[in-house]
Amino acid sequence: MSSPEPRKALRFAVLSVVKHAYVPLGAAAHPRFEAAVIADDPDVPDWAHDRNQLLADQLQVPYVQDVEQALKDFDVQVAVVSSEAERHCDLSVRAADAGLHIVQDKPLSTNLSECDRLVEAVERNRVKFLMWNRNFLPAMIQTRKAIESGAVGQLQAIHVDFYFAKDAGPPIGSRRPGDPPIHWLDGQLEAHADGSDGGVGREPMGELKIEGIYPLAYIRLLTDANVQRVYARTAAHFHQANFDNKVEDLATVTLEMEHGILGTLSLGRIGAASHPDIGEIKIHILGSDGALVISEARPEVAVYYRGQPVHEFRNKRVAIDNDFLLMQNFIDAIDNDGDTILNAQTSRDICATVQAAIESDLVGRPVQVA
Amino acid sequence: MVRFALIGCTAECEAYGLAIQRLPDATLSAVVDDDADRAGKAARLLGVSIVARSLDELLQTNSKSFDAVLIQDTPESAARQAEQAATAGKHIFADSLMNASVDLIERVRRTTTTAGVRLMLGQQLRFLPSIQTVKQALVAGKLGQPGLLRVHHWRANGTDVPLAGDGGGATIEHSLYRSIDLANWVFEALPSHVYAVARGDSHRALKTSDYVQAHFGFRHGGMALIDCSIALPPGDNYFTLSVIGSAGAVYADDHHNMQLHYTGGHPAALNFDFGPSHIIGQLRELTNAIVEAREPAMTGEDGRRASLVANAVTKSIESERGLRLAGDTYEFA
Repeated sequence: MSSPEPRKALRFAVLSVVKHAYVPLGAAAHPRFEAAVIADDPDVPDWAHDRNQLLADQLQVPYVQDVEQALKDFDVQVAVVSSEAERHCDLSVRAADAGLHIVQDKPLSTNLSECDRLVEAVERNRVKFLMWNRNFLPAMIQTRKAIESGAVGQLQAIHVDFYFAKDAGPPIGSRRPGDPPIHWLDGQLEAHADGSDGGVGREPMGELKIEGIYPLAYIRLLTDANVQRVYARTAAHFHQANFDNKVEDLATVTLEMEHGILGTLSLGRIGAASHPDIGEIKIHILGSDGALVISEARPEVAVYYRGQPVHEFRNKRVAIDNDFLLMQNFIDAIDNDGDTILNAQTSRDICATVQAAIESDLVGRPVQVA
Repeated sequence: MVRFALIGCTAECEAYGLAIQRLPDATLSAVVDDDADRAGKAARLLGVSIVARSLDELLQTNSKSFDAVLIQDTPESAARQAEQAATAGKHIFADSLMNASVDLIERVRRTTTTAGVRLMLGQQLRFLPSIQTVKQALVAGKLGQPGLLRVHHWRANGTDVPLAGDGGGATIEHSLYRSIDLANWVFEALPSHVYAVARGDSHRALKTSDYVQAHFGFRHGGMALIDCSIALPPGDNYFTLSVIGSAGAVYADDHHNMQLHYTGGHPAALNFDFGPSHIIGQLRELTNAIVEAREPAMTGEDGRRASLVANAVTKSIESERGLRLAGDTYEFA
């Protein structure tokens, strides 16, 4: 019997990579994907062009300051979108309309109507969409298997703590009288060095918008239930930049979901002093027949040595295959006309949950998710 | 020397009696129970010579032999006996008053204030070594301004085995009231906003629920999430608490403190036993408060405030609406 013909690699265009580059690098590391070009609109700021060029040099591909021209000239089948969040959907819609499958960094968008526009474009053009996520971390795979095997019976409640123990500029209360408020984009540009620039863009973003998709994607993965109603409290508790720009760095959300499932989410960028590693990320699950308590960071190996820098994480996560598994999930969806682990519709629903939570905090009442 | 009389020889009375023996300024001088066998057994176990069938009888026959009462009974009966003891000039420790209504606690408070005696409600969670460590970090300013409190308080179904020192009691209210008190204690304030949901036989009534989650907002941006369950399968309970502050965080986590036991298949996680430290801590605190003529760390007012918030939680569950604090009451937001 002859071996099946190996499937060919798909060529991808990176449409803007102005923040951390882990999404395009994750794509490039998979044998079924090949970087072909970096592209962006010509009128983006110089700092954006600089960052795009850096990745182009690293991947040894051209950088083209014209998205549509690049898509036309470089015979690509996939777009990897890693721009500022406020441009995510526009670039992804343009890619979908060009017939490309899409991998996009989180969040889907800061604007729900943009999310709806993207969902429509993906469906109309019959392309595959993957929102970058953490659902293939070892602990999440283990948790999902446990639930699917009936370890807790019928899932009844789920709680996720999702704290990043990172600083985001000077602490709250540090602005002296007469000092101007911290400019959001300037602060994010400075944060690029340590990868804490998930909120880069003109529009200030709180942690619900920046990071909320990760824990909400966990909840969606494990419950297979949509959130119907939320009650939220938010605050700028840690960082001057958040306070100055009126966006939260700490949030708690009560979740009321389909099938009577209840839950909570607490997340925040809580400052580097508040955890010895990246942060406390835990999942508590109650079911009809049992419960699970999961530390999302495990497995880990602890490393200590003389002269160790204070901010170096003592516990190193190991056996991480998330990037490869995400891209494998994506290529499987393309090859078999299936669905990805986090598609456009679910990502849109997560954005709707975030939007409802922000509204709930503003009005002080529970809010239905749109 | 503060002399305690144990009123109600419950399953936990041995722990209380032995705890008193560990205190240099306290002693156990009498036991009371309407079941003569139970009272006799407790007296022999704890080396106590004075035994009575009721507080009435003890006050009539041996009033001068004790200074304080340690009451183990239902909230209503505990309140009645607390008032009786206070009127007779006895200081009071009552565990179940933490579950009592606002009115009942207030009634007992007025009586003890008038009588000039100390009233301490049982709230072992505050005195767990882990939670004491949390509070010390807060008081020392290590955490800055508290921003978030998170509590998971899960009990095994149908068990009266105390959760690592929460005084026994398998009702959802038992867990909830004590967890609410922790929130009030950490933030040193009543929540300004309350929203709660529940599940169980009726997801709109706290009393018939086996699971409740409460969501609080505090002035100055603080917030708390508490979830209580009494539906774990029979076996060990689970408790975890974390506080995130503007300058630091503490994680008092059962998960972190588990040991492993291999007997084939998946290993079991062995929970630890706090021992009697939380009981000793409470009784030491009351003893010191009596000796030093000051209020104890856990007062009737603390219990009243927890009960007030619990009422708001109940109202939120039943109405499916959020509430906010207006003066000393909660109204719909």
